[in-house]
Amino acid sequence: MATETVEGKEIFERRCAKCHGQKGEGADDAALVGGIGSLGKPKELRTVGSFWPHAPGVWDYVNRAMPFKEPGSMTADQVYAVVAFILNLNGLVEVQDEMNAKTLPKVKMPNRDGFVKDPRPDVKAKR
Amino acid sequence: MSSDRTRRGWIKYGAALGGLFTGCSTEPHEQSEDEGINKLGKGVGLYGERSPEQKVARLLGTNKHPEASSSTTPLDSTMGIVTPAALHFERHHAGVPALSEKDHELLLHGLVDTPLVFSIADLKRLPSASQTYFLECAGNGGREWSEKVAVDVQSGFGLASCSEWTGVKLSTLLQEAGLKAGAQWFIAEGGDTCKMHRSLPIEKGLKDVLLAYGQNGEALRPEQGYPLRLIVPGWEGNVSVKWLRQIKVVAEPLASREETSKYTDMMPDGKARQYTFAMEAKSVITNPSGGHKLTKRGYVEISGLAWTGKGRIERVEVTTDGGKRWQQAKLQEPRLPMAFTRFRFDFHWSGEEATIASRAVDESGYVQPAREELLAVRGGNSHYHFNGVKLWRIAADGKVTHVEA
Repeated sequence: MATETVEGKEIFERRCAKCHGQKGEGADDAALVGGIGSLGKPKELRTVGSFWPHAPGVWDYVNRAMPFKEPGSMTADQVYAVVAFILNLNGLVEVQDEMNAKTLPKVKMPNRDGFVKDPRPDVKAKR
Repeated sequence: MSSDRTRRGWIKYGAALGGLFTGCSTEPHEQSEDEGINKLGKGVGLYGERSPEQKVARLLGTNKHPEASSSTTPLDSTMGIVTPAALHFERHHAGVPALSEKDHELLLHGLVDTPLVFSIADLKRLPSASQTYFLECAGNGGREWSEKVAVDVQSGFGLASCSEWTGVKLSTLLQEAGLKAGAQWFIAEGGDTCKMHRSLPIEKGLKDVLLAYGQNGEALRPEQGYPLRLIVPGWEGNVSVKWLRQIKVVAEPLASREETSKYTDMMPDGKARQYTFAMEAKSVITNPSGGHKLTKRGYVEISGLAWTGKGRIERVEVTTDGGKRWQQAKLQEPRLPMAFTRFRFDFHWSGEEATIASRAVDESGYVQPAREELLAVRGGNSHYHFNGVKLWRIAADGKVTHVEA
């Protein structure tokens, strides 16, 4: 396992797992892993892997707002490491892939093209 | 005695309105009046408080983090169109920051000729504007997407409130800074620990967005964004960023977490609609509504609220027979654009079961749809922007409940 992913796993288990589960399966808070292909279905699971369209968006959110009670307490590299670990849990990057400002935007997220523009008004009421 | 005169007056007035007061007492409460009027009351005070017997309150959401939860407005207890600031709904994503008006600054930068920093005092020196606007959380009424529809109006529809907001138009600041070529969007960011932020079209920013420091005649409450928040009229509440600390003018939206994994509308085909800002026309009967009980047959005022992100409410129709016949309700004037509109409808309850509901029509001609019509198009995974008709059932014993989906 690459040094970065090892570091990401260590950070995740220490700082994220309590709320998001040991393998990102969700606990008190949202699941981060799984649900790929479930969007729009009755048993939908919205996660980083199934729903989020851009990997840099994951970095931005973790960097900006996580951990919930101590945001801003991780270095930029630690955020890359923990994001690499989350992406790896979703099977989207290999353990040896290094995540940085250059590589992260290139990660192919399954739901990259899952968003459409607002077509409303779309519902016509019968009267 | 004056009480005789009062009593005669009431009886006469009641007769003129054709039995409207059937069931009302015509005997004044002589005893309590005597006690009250001879007991010297309290003197003047620095900041008013409501009567200690008034207990109406927000209802707290059940999120395990109270800092990332919501509280709802008791819409069936508020009157007219204004929500008292203390009862305005809350939706926080990372707590209420303790900010000071003296230290707070707003940075305006990005694709502008001159980046600017404003203190609150700077903003208060600029031309001000006051406008009455509703704010509605994108998720208000979200329970209606599921089979377990809301049982009462506060828990089900109370993520909506209406206030008079005072501040500076964003257009004033943008004109001062000067927009560069390619300025198409702006990102507003708040001062909470999640640095809540949303991308908005610059066109809307130039049209009617307000940077508010006042609410209902006084400074914003901390939980409403003190000392400065954005007010984006008619659009989902989340974009009216609280504790506003920076506005960055950009060419493209950020597509950040709040604009992808949240605040997007999942459709049955698995595609999510993005940047769905406007709140479409909606109304709900607040009185009587789920949890209430009618105690007397005869006159009942049906009353509720209607609003639309597309301007003014044009018409509200009420049914008392489950939708067979719709009749026009009276609208409180003036009807303000993108504000609550109070509607009222005279109902004579016979004591038999009745199903009541309201539907709004706005000035764009849009008609509030039935829940089934909305679900037929959007499916059940939408989470946000529910604006279907809400039914309440009055049972023969007077109990008012929701109608099962």
